[in-house]
Amino acid sequence: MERILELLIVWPFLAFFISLFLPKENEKLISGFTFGVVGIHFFTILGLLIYWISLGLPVLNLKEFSIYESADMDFFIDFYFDHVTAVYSLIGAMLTFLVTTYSRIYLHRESGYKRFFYTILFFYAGYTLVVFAGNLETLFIGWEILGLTSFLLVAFYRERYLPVKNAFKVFSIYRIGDVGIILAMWASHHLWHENITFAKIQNYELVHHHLEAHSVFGLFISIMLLTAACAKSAQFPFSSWLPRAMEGPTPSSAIFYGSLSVHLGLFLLIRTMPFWEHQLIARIMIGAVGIFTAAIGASIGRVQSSVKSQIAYASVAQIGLMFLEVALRFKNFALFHFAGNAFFAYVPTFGFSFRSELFDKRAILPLCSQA
Amino acid sequence: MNYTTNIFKVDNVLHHLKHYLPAQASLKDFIHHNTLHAFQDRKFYDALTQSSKIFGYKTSLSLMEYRDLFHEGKISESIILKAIGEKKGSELPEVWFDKMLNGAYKDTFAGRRSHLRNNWKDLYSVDLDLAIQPFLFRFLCSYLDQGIAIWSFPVWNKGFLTTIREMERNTFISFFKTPRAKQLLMDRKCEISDLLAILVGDETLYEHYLFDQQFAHPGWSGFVSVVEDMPQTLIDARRISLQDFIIFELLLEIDTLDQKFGENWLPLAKRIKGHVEPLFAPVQITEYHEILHLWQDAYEWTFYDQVLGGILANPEKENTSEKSGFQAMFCIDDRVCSLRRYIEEIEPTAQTFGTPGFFGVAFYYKPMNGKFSMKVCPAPMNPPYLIKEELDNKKNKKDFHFADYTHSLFFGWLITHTIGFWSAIRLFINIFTPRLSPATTLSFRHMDKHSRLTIESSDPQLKEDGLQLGFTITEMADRVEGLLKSIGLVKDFAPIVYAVGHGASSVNNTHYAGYDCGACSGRPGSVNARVICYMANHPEVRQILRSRGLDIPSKTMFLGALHDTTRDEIEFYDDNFADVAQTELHKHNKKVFMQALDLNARERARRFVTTSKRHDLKNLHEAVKKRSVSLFEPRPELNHATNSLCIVGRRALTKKLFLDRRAFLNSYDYSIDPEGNYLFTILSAAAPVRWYQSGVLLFSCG
Repeated sequence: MERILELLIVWPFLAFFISLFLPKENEKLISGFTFGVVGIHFFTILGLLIYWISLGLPVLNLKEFSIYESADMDFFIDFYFDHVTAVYSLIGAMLTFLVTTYSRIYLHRESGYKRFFYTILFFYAGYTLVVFAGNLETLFIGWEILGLTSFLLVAFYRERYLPVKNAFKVFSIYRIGDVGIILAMWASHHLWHENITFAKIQNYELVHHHLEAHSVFGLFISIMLLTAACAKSAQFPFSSWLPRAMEGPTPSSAIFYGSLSVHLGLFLLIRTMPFWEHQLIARIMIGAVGIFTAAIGASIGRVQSSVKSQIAYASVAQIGLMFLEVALRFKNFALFHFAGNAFFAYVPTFGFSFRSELFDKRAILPLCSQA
Repeated sequence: MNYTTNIFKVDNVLHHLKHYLPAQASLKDFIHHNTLHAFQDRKFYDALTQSSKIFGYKTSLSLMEYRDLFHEGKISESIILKAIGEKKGSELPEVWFDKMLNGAYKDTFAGRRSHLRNNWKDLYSVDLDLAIQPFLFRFLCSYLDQGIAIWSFPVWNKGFLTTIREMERNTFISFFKTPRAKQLLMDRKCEISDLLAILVGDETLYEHYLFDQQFAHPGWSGFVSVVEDMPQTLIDARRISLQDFIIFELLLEIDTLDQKFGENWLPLAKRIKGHVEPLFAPVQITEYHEILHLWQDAYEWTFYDQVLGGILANPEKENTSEKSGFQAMFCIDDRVCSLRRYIEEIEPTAQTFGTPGFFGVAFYYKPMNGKFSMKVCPAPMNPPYLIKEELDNKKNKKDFHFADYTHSLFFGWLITHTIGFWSAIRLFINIFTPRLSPATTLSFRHMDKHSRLTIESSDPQLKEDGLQLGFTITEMADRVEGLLKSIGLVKDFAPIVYAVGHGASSVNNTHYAGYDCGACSGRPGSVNARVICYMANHPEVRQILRSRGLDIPSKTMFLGALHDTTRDEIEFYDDNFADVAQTELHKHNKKVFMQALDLNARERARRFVTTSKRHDLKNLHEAVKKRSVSLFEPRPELNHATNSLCIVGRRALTKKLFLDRRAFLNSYDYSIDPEGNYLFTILSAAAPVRWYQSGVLLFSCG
């Protein structure tokens, strides 16, 4: 099982590199390749999950290799697999699979056809890395890939002014999140004096011991993680990028605000939950951010005159509720909520598609139909 | 400070502005609109050149494009020479020909518009459009919103500026970032001329400035102008005027400049050096334009030449005298011309006719459970009749995903936990096998097949929404007579005469608004087809017609139908014949229709880039049906944009002729219309509408 997990992580990266060398003119090959790669990935995960369930849901931790070793520090790549990873990877694989199917025809003859598909593959590689990551350092690599590909996908129509401007907005806000993670890593090195894995912080005794001695450090790390999560999940005060991300072509916006990218902030919180769940102040802050965003997002959404913005703000509000749920330690409930929201927001996103120069007919449909 | 001098008169300028702005109404009723309507009193080529020079419109292909067409063999040399001969006389045609092919010209459509206002960028380094437009449009959208937003706009019935004032007074945050603009708004002293005095400062330039400003977003301004003049184009009426809109935009401009420079900046006119060419100064027609016009002439005539050649060579000059198997009336629409060809090919005894798809019956239609009556006749008509759909237990299916309460916090929360998962499964299936859903706009849902229609008026005094409910017997007879005589169907009636309207279905095509029947105000023609058949079958109507010399045999039945042009399906209405022979005949004819529809789908599929042509006939038709309901198919079927002909005459002229779905075919028989009355009606009402329609779609798609 460990070997297959490693393969699952390497697979999208490999596919991405191969896709760079595919001929630009051959749309069938490009989309067929991506479709095949993501499809195989999806079904492998599905099979693996069944096997994993039959094994009785063991939690796995794989230490891969060290990047830098010295006497008192060891930077290493580490993977982790539990039910959170299972849910996120399955949903990610399924939605990406659908996006590739959808885009095959949708983007036909679009000048950036190949660019779109290899960016999606790279995005997916980053996503896989994040959800399988076993420590903050590994997660950060995937996190950065996601930031970059998000920027590229939002700015897909790079000859138009607005998408590019909005992409920069997304990029800038994501950077704030990145800084949050970097500072969290820095502070945790000071706290633990080692490259701590997610597996280790499951140990309540250990966490408790360290936090007692350095409660300020502990709080600082939690706040930094929360900042990163807020930026990624478009929570207050970073909500504005989400409606802006809509400027991109539909399939990518479907990935973003509908489903995958925005839920990764939540993922970060769930992953690091054993660390902050005993800090009352951190929990209050997470809950407050969540409930405040939910209220604000729901109110702003109500006055939007475009359905796409309404969906974006509704999504922000739902994620706010998920933040509240994790703050109340309903971790599995939030996970369930994520899965439902990812799918539900995703469907109308396709319906209300918005492609380059074409104008959104749904906005005027209520006028035309009597029903 | 109130400037009312002679040079700048606000009312005149607004009038002038409204005249030139595109009159784009909301897509409620079909819009027949010449985008160059302000120039339509001029000669064709003058209008093209002037509008291009003044507003920078691209009104023809570019020189390079024409030359490429020539090299591809799509423009014929002999016709070029003929065009030169007609326009330039017969002297030295080679000189002109050489210029057309090799002459060096600046190939551009740049116009004078925005020259004045661009100075903000050049001299002040401020991009006003960039700073203002995103907010302005969003605000206007919210103000005009027709029910997309869950909470509607707080104050909307007092007029645009009054609303802004009231909101400004009652909220904590301001529309403006600096005090002067707010002051101007609240003091109620802001006339357009006052604001222009601050911004421009030279009255001779005011008009030019306003044109520059409003033509920076002609669609929005044109829309505002239409809503001001015709509030009924919106279902949920909004009070707005172009004047208010301009004032608000001018205030935002002052605000933006104040924010950058404080209140001490010079008006535009003070810093411009040199002369600004007036927008409407006479336009010189240069040699470059003449060359373009020659190319266009030659291009058009190359096409007409082929069509006329085809008509000349067409062996069937007269109607065959043998008895018709069945007769069918279709819309004159270009999409129907191929279907008619296939029907006649499969069933040589069938006879087809073309007439505007509302079949001469103009009325409003209110479906069961409908909240509004909708127009189902050409948009310029305002008929005083209403026909209602009646049906027991009609329910409109709903789709949870498109209900607005899913966007609210708590319902949304509840629903994501439940239906979210069902969505996933459904989406998964739908992406792989697209199919009909409540989100599909399906032409057959326009009117339920099993419904009753209130066609016959029991009492002309009976009114609903101010409209007469149904038609009286005489009114019916007039309409049937008018229709049949205009298409020349007055004798040799077949046992069944079909009236086939058309409509379209789509789930996600952005061009859908242009897909339905234009003669029915952009709606499916099913109701009209059914109504005209009811009228023509009515015994009392037939009696009146007989007294007017139009004898329809009692065995002849009229039968309504709807052809879905995106799915190539057909639905027949009221097809329960008492007569067994007729039932059999109808059964046979149905097969003809089905076969013709398969072939028609194949012909259309030639132009669908993503539909594989390797399927056999049936599967290809299935692929075409799938295309109409697939989420990921935003590419249009260009339809009217490729329309280039309108032929008014007997079908014998064009029978068997492949016109590539590019022709409007209106049936007409000169021999029964010696005074030309029907011809006059066809040409004066229907034809210009058609030409506009193709023009509009050509300009918007092309």
